[in-house]
Amino acid sequence: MPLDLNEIECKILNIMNNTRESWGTRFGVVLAVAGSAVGLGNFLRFPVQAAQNGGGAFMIPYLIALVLLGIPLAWVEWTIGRIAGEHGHGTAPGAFDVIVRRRWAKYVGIIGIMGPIIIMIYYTYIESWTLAYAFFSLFKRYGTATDQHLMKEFLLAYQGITKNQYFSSILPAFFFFTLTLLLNILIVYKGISKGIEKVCKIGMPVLLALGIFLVIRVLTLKSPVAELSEQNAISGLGFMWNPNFARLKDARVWLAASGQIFFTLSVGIGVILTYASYLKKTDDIPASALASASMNEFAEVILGGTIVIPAAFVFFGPTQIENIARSGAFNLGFVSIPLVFLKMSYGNILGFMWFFLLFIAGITSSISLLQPAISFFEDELGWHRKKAIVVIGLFLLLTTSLVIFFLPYGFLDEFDFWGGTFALVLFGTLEAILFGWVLGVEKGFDELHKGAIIRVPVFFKFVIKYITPLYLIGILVFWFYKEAIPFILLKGVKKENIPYIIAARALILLIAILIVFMVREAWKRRKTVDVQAK
Amino acid sequence: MCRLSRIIICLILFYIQGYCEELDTAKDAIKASDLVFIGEIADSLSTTGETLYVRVVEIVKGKRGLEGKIVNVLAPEPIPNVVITSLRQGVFFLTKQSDNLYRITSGTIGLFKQKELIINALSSMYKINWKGILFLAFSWAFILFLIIYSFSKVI
Repeated sequence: MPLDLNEIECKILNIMNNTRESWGTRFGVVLAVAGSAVGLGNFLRFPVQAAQNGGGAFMIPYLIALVLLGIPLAWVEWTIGRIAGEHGHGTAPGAFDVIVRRRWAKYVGIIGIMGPIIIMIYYTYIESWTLAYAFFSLFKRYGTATDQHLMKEFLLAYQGITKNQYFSSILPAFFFFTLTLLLNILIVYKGISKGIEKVCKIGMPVLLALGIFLVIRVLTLKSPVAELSEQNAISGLGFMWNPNFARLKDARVWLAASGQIFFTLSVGIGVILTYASYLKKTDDIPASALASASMNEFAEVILGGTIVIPAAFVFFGPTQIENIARSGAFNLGFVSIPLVFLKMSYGNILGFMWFFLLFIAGITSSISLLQPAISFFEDELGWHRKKAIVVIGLFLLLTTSLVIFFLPYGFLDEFDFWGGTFALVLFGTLEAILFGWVLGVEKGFDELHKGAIIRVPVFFKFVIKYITPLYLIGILVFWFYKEAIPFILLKGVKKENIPYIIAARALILLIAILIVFMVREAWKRRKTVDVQAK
Repeated sequence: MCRLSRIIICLILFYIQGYCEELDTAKDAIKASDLVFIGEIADSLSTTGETLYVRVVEIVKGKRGLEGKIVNVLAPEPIPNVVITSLRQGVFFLTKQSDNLYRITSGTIGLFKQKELIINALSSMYKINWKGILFLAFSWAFILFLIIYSFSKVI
C-alpha cells in the first residue's frame, strides 16, 4: 500500500522532531489522571462493596491493596507510558515493542487499546443516564415514580426494556447518549492540553465542591418521620463503617477489596499509559501519580463513603438498607437515590447536583478511554486528529447502538466482562511483569525517577518485582476460577439471550482482529518512514 | 425560676431515661428473637385458636426471603377471634420452634404496637460505634495525609 506524502511527513515530524502534544502543567496532568480514575464506581460501587464486606474492616484489605497493588501499579503504568512517549508511541503496542524488543510483543500490547475501546462502547451509555437523570431531577420529570417499584419501572422504561406511562420509546435514552458522545468527541478533538486538561481543570474542582456540599447536607439530614429520631445519618455511617472482623476470614472480602482498588485507580486499562506518553522527559512521575491516586481515594472513601449509604439509611430506614445495599450499584444509583432526593426539601436541585457530579465523574473518565484509540491512529497510523475522531465517533455510535437496543439480552454485561474486567486484570498483570522482570526493576526505577520531585522508598523495588505481580496473578487465577469460567461457559444465561451474547463475543473478536491488522499495518508504515527519515 | 428550671431538667432527664429504657428493652427483644418482622394476621387463613397465620410485611431481623410469605406462629394460649381482629398489624418477635413454626418470644407482647420504637431500636443498633469511628477516622486521616503530602510536592 503506497504511503501518502502527508502521512509520511506527519510521522517524520512526530518521531524526529518530537512534536507530539504534551500536557500544559503538572497540576493539569494530575487532575486529568485523577479525572480518569474518579468515575461512577467511586460513588456507587465502593459504598456497596464496603457495606457488604465487613464495613470498616473492609478498609484493612482495601488500604493494604492500595499500598501494595494500586499505587505501585500506577507508578509502573506512568513509567511505561513515558518510555513509550519518548519513542513516539502513545499506546501499549508501541510500549511493549520498545521494552520487549520482540516482533510478537506489539501484538500482546493490543489489550491496552482493546480494553478502553470495549469499555467505551458501554460506558458512554451509562454516563448518559447520569446526564438524563440530572435533567429529570432538575425539572421534576419523575412523575408518579415515588417508590422503589415505580422508580425501577421508570428506569426500565427509560432503558427501553419496558414501555409504560413514563416512556413509550427508547428515543430519550438515545438522545442523551448522542449528546454525551458528542460532548466526549468535542473535548477529545480539542486535544490533550486544550481539551482534556482544560475540562479536568474545571471539572475536578467542581466535582469535589459538589461532593463536599452533598456530604455536609447528608450528615445534617434528619429522619423524614419525626418519631423515628434514631433513623439518622449517624446510624447510616454506622451501617457503612462499623467493622465486622469476622468477614476478614473470607478470602472473597480480600479479593473484593483488591478488585475495588484495581478498578478505581484506572490502572490496567491502558489509559494512564496513554496519558503518561504525553509527559516530558523531565516531568515528575512519583509525586504526580501519588497525587492523582490520593485524589481518587478522597472522592471514593471520603465522599463516596459518606453520601449514598447514610442518605439511603435516613430515608429508607434500617429494615430496607440491607436490601438496597445488596441490590447493587446501579439500583442504588438510579432507583434508590433519586427517591432520596425526591423526599428532601430542594430535592430537585440536590438531585441535579448529585447526578451532575456523577456526570462529571463519568465524562472525565470517558474522555480518557477515547484517548488511546485516538493516540494510536495519530501516532502509529499517521492520521490527522479530525479523521481519527470521525472514525472512532462513528464506530462508537454504531456499536453503542447495539448495546442500547440489546441491553435486555445481556449485551452490556458481556462488554463489561471482557473490557471492564478480563482485559483489565490481564493487562495489569502483563504491565507488572513487563516493568519488574522485562525492563528490570533497577532500570524501571531509574526511569521512574527521571525528573522526580520525591523518591520512592527502596522497599517498593521488592514490592513491584515480587508482591504486585504475585498479587495480580493471584487475583487473576482466583477470579478466573470463581467467576470467569462460569461466565465464559454461559452458565445461568437465559436460552433466548445466548444468540445475542454470542453476537457480542463475535463483535469483540472482530474488534481484536481489526486492531491486530492495524498494528501490523502501522509497523509496516513505521519501517518505511524510518527508512525514509534516515 | 430556679426551681422551675430544675423541675424541667428533671422531667427531661426522666423522659430520656424512660426512652432509653424502652429502647434497651426493644433492643433486647430484637437480640433475643430469631425472627422479627412487621406483619399482619392473614385474613384468608385466620386462626385455629392456637396457631396464628401471619403474613410477613417487612423483615426487621431474619431471612429477607420471608417477606410476603405466611409463617405459622404458636399462640401462647388460644386467642379469641375478637382479640385477633383487634391486633391486626404489628411487630412480631418470634423464636424458632421448627421449620416454619415459631412461637412468640416471651415478654415481647407489649412491643406489638410500638413499630416506631422497634425501628428506632434497630436504627440505634446500627449507630456508629467507637470501632467504626476509629476506622473512619484512620481511613480519612491516611487519605488526607497522602493528599496533603503529594499535592504539597506537586503544586
